[in-house]
Parts: sequence; C-alpha cells; structure tokens
Amino acid sequence: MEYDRLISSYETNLPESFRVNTLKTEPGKIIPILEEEGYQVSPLKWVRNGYTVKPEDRLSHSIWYKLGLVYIQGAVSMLAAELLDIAPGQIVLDMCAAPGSKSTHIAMLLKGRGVVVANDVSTTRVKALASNLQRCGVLNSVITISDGRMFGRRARDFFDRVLLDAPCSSLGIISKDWSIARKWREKDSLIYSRLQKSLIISAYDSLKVDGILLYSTCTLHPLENEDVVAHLLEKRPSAELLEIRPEKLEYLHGLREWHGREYPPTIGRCIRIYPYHSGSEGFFFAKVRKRGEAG
Amino acid sequence: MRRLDEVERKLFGEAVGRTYGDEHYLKSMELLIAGEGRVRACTSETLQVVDSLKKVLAAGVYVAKWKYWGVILSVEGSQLLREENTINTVELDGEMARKWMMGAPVPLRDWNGQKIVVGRYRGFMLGSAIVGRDGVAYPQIPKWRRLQEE
Repeated sequence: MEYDRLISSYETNLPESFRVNTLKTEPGKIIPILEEEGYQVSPLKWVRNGYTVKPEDRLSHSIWYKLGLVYIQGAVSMLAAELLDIAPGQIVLDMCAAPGSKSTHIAMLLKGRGVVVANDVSTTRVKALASNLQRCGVLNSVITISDGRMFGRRARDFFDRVLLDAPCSSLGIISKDWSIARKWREKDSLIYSRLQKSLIISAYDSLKVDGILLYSTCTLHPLENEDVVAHLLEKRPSAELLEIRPEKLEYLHGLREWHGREYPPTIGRCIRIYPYHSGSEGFFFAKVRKRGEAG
Repeated sequence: MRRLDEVERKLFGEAVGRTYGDEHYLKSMELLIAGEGRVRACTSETLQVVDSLKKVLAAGVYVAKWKYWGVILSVEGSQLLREENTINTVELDGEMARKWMMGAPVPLRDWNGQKIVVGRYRGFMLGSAIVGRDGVAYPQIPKWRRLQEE
C-alpha cells in the first residue's frame, strides 16, 4: 500500500547530496579530488552535476564546500531549476529564495549571462542567501528583500522565468525532522494555502508573455499543491499547465480530486514525487506557461 | 552602494596590478563600492535589472576591500584573477590550506617579501593574506566561511 511505503520512507534518513558549482569548477576536476579524500560519490540520475555523497555530514566541513566548489542540496530539490528550462541571457526571479540553493543553481544554468533575482521576505534568512550567492560566486545576481506578493504589481511582465518554491508545511521532508509531523495540523496547510495562492498570482503576473513559472513545494498536501494551481488556472485564464516528465525518476501525476473538490483535468500535468520514489525528499511541481492574449 | 567612476576604476585597476599583477582585472565587469571600501563586481545586465527593481539589498559579488595602502581580494575576488599574470601567489599544501581556511596564521615557505599574497591549493585560489615581517601569512577569511577546528 502506498501509505505504508510513505511511512517506511519517512523512517529512512535522507542521503546527503550535493551539486558541483560549474561557475567555479567542473565535475572532472573536483570529483577525483573528493574521491581521493575518501568520499564515496555517485551521480544522481535525474539531474546534471548532482551527486550523493558518503560519509554524511563531512562535506560541509571541507575546504571545497567553503570555497563554493560544491553546494549541498536535496536530491529532488535540484530538479526545480532544471525544470525551468533556463537559457543563458534570461532574467529569472526566485521569489522565495532563502537560503539560496535554487538561486545558485539557476545562476549555474544561466552560465554568467542574464540575471537571477533572489528575493526573500525575511531579513534574517536573506543573510544565508547572501552568503551562499557570494560563496558560489554569482556575479549576475541581485538580492531583494520584499514580500513576494508585491512583484506582480511592481514588476509586471518583467521576468522570463519565475521560480516559486513556496513556503509550505514541509510534509515531504519529515524524515529530516519528525517534529514537522508532530506539529502539523490541517489548519496549517489551510493558512499556507492562502499565502501560496497570493504568491502564485503575483509570480504569474510578473512573468513576460511566453514566460514560464515553476511552482514547487516540499509538501504533499493537496491544499498547498493542486488547490493552489487550480486557483491560478481559475483566476488567470491565459495560464497553461505544461507537461513535466523528469527522466529516470518515478513520480505520480497531480490529483484530479480531493475531499470532494474536483480540479481541472490538466492538473494531471503536475507531478508529485514521494520520498519512496526518490529515496529523498517529497516534492510537488507544476510548470505554467503564460500565453499571450491570443493564446 | 554606487558605481566606481572612471578615475576610481583606473586607480583600483592600478592598485590590483601593483599587488597582484593583473592590470586588466575585471575590465568587463561593473564595479560598485559600498561602505568601508568594499568593492563588489557584477555584470552590466545586472545593474540594468537593479535600476528596475525596488528594495535591492545587494548585487553581484564582494571581490575586494580597497584601502589607501592596498587591495585585499576576497576568496571570490582572487578566483577571478587571471592566474597567469599573478605575481604574489603562494602554493599551499593540505595542512597549510586547512589552516588558511580556518583563518589561522600560516608560516610561508617560499615568500619573496610581498605584504599581500594569494593562497593557491590544488589549483584553486583561497583568497588573500597579509604577511608579517616574519613571513607569517594572516589569511583574510571571513568568520562565516572559516573551517572549524575538528
């Protein structure tokens, strides 16, 4: 039964994974050094330049990490920037960016051309974001401290790509911290859902025509996932959900119905990655294109 | 935070050239100066985006501290040097590199009298250090990215 698989996957520790920062080095240079130093490194199948590493909790205390040659990031979280179809030269917004894992990944994919705007609402969390962008040597980055809900008005039709990795109840990463499950109440998801709905509208409005928005959360609750995407589809008829097909990674399609709520048929284009699919975090992804008026 | 004007850019380039040997350092980048002589570098596209946004905290990367007596390149600043031109690079072994990244004093082996040096370990630049008269380097690694003692 899926439920049993989910619970047993929560009981397994998440593997440590990292990304080679190609703004500073290349895998062919750094991986042999890591192996020489006794790390067991295996490539992740679904993402470029992503690896799992053993022993755990050691890499973050290495020179290579401090120099910004490697970036420790969840194995499925790395998929977010990959799914955005980023091309060098684009202007990309990471709306809820702290601590900067996905912003630094976006910068890598931009290859020094274009700009990544890393925004967060929290002044405390922005410190970690600034440190990580510095450590990864992202010359084409801008850090802003702003409520994400303002972008739709202040920067309408401005970005080629927007990543909204929304604040959520984090039910996909319970194995990292069981207190998430202990503290969770359904009303928490309801509160997050309201915020996520405002954020997704703002994110969408800040996109240029033909731009792409990726909505992601590390939770599995439909109120914070399908319900939010359905809200966008209802409020913005020009929004078109795109198919997502990650390679070499199992996943399920978005739920068409939940607790009597029916979602549009295209919601099946969203994907749910459960911890037992990846052996890592649980994630939800939706990819939306902004069509022109005629589209 | 403001852009360095032409005169300041020239003076900065000369200062980097004198200390590090790379006179064309970051020629294609925009340079910004923040408080206490902190120099940041970013692309010109980045500055265009900055002009269109509100509540901007920072742009680009902190590359150097520019004082009247010289320029101290940060870790990222040193990694942007054109290595073939550098005149003050010191090669470090594993133990020295560890100490360097801990921000601890590192006695140099083949030091040729420069006050500011750049450390290199296995081909990677580790930022600048100020060297005392006794040939001991004091690496300028910010606290937040120092290696902790085991």
